[in-house]
Amino acid sequence: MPEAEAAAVVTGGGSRAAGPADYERFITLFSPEGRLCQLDYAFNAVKLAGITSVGVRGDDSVYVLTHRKEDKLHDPTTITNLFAITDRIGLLATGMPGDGRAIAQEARNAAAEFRFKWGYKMSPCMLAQWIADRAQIRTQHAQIRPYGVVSMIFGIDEEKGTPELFTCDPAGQFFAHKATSAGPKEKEVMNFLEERMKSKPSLSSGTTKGLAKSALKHVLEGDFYAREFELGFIKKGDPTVTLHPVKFKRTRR
Amino acid sequence: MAGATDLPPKGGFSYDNCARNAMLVEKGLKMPGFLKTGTTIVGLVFQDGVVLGADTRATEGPIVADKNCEKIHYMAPNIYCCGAGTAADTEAVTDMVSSQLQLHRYATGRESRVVTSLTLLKSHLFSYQGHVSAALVLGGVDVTGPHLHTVYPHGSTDTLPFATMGSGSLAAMSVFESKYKEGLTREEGIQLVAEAIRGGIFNDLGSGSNVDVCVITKGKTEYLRNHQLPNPRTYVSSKGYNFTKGQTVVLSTKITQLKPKVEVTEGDAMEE
Repeated sequence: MPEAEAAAVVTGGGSRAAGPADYERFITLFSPEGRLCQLDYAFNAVKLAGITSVGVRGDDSVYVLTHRKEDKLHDPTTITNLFAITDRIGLLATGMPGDGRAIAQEARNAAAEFRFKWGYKMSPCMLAQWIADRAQIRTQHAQIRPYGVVSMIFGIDEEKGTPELFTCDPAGQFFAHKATSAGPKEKEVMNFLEERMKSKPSLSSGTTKGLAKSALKHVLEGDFYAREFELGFIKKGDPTVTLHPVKFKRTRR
Repeated sequence: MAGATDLPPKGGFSYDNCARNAMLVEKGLKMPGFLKTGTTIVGLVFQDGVVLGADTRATEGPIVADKNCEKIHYMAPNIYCCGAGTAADTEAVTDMVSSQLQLHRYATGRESRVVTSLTLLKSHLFSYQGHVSAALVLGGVDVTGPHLHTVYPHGSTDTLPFATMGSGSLAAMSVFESKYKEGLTREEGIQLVAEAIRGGIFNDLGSGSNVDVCVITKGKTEYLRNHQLPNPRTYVSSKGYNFTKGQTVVLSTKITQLKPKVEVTEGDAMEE
């Protein structure tokens, strides 16, 4: 068949018939089903890190919550997936820690450059767009692999005055969210959040934080209260990103 | 004392370079010329926004090149910019920033900010170290309120409630200094701007002709082209400038053949 021969020539596999293995070796080549296999692997890499994150946008605040990997030999003070990009925008990188750190550093540079060039501060929407554009480029250039990270960007939009929560995935897609999750248990968390959001509750700052906590508690195995978490939030009244480790206390009845 | 010994024995001017300059001219160096530019441009902040004003004279040295040129340039729907200095420079730099602002509006989906155009202008002018001869009065209203800035050719900027630039700036500033007050109404603002421009028109040789005004408020911009015409043309020929056709007498006629006449004659058909 001419088509098969052409495919074989394109992949450089000689006269051998093209199979899935040839398509997945190339970052930029579509499989016959229309998939970029390396992107699928990048999404798997996000889950492989084993950290599940949740973000919830309230009426006047945004909370993102994630937990730390348990390892008795780690010094917990040196490990974080939460980054302040500017004093008003935060980023939670779920997935490969090295990729997350690289994205955060590049995002900081991009935000500073934006401020220098245009004369005012970057909005969370623009930062999400910038990160998504950067991820998209990696789906069309063979020399650079996709990020193994789902980024959550949270902040207060200075112009609209509203809290914003965005996610960017390795494919370069980005969306604004009322609530979202990333990591190995993201489906369960999102089902939980959908159920809670169905009644369109009004979300004060405390309620928003409680919802994020409940979502993670719902899916994490083991002793929830023995775990170490990282909490990032920003409120309308005090629009400065705050990041800190937390341990939740068992409430007494 | 070291200070005392370093001081010259007398005060006054030093003429050392006069001899040097004469020597250079003797050896054939041609001193560069200088073309004077002239303009009066102004801006002020009133209670609801910004009013910009400009005269409409363009000069080529001592010659009035254009009696009714436009010196208030569009930057964005909510931002305008008056230009003094070299006309081509002011138009080119405002055009460039205007296109950058449009692209940025596409990228962000939001209204342009005055601070953005200010940042772009000052970065560009500073990188050219004053060789782009554009002195600007930049005004607009954005999400952060009304703003009025001046930009100098070397890239320094001011933010002020009222501002003047150009060769007529002193005449215009005298009007503002004596009459500006905070909380002006729209009509008061326009009137004051027009008066300041007239001050430049009548007291500065580089400024003249008409008054252009631009009023920028939140969500609305009015460009009042030729808002005032203080210098109407006063002489009109009673006969007009029409001349009866056919009044020129033909004195002589000479016909010159430009191409030789070619006669086509029937010939034998070419053999196949």
